[in-house]
Amino acid sequence: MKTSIPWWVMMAAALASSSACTKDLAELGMGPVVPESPAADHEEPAAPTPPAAQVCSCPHSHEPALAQPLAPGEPDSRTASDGGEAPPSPAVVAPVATGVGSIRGVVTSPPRSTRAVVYVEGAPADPSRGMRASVNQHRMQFIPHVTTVSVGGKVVFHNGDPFPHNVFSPDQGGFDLGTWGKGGARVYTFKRPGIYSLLCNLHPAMLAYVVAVPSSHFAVTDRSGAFEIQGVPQGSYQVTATGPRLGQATKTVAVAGGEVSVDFVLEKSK
Amino acid sequence: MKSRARSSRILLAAMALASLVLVFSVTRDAEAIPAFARQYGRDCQTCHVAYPKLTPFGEAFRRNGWRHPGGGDADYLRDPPIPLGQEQYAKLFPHTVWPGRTPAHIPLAVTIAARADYEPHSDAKLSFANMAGNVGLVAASSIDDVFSGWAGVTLRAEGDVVSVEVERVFGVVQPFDDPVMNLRLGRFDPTLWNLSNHRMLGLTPWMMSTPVRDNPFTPLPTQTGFELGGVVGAGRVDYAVGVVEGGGDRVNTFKDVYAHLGAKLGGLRLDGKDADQVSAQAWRETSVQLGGFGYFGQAALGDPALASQEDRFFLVGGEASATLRDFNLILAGAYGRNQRPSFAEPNEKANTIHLMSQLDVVVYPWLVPTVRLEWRDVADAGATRASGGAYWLLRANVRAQLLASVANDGGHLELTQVLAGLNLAL
Ligand SMILES: [Cu+2]
Repeated sequence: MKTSIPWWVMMAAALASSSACTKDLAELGMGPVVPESPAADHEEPAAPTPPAAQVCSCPHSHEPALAQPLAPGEPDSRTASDGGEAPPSPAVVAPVATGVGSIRGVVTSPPRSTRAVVYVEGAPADPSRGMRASVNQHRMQFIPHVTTVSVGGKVVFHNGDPFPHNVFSPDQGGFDLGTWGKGGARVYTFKRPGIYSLLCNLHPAMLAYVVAVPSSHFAVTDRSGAFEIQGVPQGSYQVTATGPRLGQATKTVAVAGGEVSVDFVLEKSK
Repeated sequence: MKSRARSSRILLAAMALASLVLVFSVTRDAEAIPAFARQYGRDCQTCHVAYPKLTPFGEAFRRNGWRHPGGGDADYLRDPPIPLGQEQYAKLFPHTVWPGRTPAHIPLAVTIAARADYEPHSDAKLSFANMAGNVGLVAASSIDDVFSGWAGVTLRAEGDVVSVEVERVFGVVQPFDDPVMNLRLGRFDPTLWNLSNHRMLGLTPWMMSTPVRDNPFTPLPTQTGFELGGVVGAGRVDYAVGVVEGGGDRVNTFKDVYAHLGAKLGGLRLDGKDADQVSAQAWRETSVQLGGFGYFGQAALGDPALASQEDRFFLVGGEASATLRDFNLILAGAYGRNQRPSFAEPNEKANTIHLMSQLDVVVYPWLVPTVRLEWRDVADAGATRASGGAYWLLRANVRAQLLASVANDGGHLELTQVLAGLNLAL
């Protein structure tokens, strides 16, 4: 059964919850956000929360990715780190503070692989980061192609095309957010770690991935395979690189302020 | 005596019809072409139920001159088109050719059709004549936001004879952002019903392929000429007016004219810009599409070099197509009147009535059965046909089909045709 809430109820709820939030959403070009369908996520409480409050815990800024259409002829070139993921909040991008370092390196993977995800395990969870991301459906593509979110984090799926799209995944138990039209958006909470392929049953050629990682310190590699994870507290951690259709590699890294470098080589997974 | 002559003519007509059915049911598969899939990195299911049948989105894509509804089609292309003059040259017009573009790759598709036919009344009964040697070559694409083209050729080998048939070759001019007034020029299937044999499942409908006596005209397969048509009325009303050569493409002094008017209630707009509902599957919507047409023509009978006798005729018809979830029910009909369709009996007029109903069901996205009932009364010869079968998508671009028909053509009901085929599109 699909949740069906009259538009005026949603509107009222959105207005009542946070006007700043809805404004932010409007600035992002995002239309009404439909709350998660109870049927879509069996782990989620059935009662939907007000839509704006669910996708936004202001005052964190929202990323401008949705306002940036993909350049023609450059499919799949956008990754979470270069546009699709919420940029780190000021606390995260601030110059390295005492006791905080960054991990950078290069993930080498076979030609024509998707981008890889690198995450730090064991670092104290930081609820201010990694809990929210967004994926846009634009020109019949999911943008970005790879999105990363912390386990328990939410991803907003926004339809920026003039025709309906669907979002479902057959992975990690699967979910189906249903189908919605132009300007609409829906949210899904990724409660299980793993790599989720995102599909649209109206357009079977559409494909993207959400990687839910047990960490709030992560990055998606850029086109060259390089990555940088900033704001990692001092300590010794397991750092893992993986990605859609890629294997997995884990290394131990000691962060002692400043930068520490670590590289990975990933094979294609079977 | 007269009735015997008539029945032999009917028999001849039936044989001619049977051969037409065989020909058309092969050639029309060229409607589904992976040229678009290649250009846009798109799957077949976005536009096709089981090809050649179109989804509502596919229909909108077609009406937009094979562009994505809502504009910005070039942004959907996998490879950017080659500019033929950079856009800035538009500022220099008229001192330069208006800048255009062309697809990065030839938008070509190849279709292969292999089919076995069982016809109890033919000499061979089981025929492999269509098992090898049907190759369709279709190039189709929008060129820019205004111009599009479709060019289809079918190569066919029957025994030692190889023939090349120009299937449809036409250009489309869409002067406005939306397909409110598009011009089609060339050899195309005229918009009479919204139904087109190029885009529907099952055998070629009788009402599109049955000639009246010696008049060679049938609405199918193609006509040469031009057609002005489009979608207006908030994307809910479609129209077409055309002037075509008519009469089986023979050279006529008088051209044939036709007009079509239709409307769609519910579902995706005909121009694809918006829908009043969101469907969970590409083929689903709750909609009713209505349409009607009038066709007035004049055709030369007999040897076109002599053309001593011409038949003036008109055909009016209409259809209703209702879609509800996985079901699509089509009702269609036509009434025609010919002034002198018989070469031997020039004073004889003829009336024609066709009725048909068809139900297509998407059982699975890859399995689409279809059943149809047809009734016709062509120049006082009544006949009924029931046909049906299933289309099975082994892959999105590999389709198997099994179709059979039973007909009651002047007496008793009998199995007339079974065909099993495999179509590949690459
Ligand atoms: Cu889609």
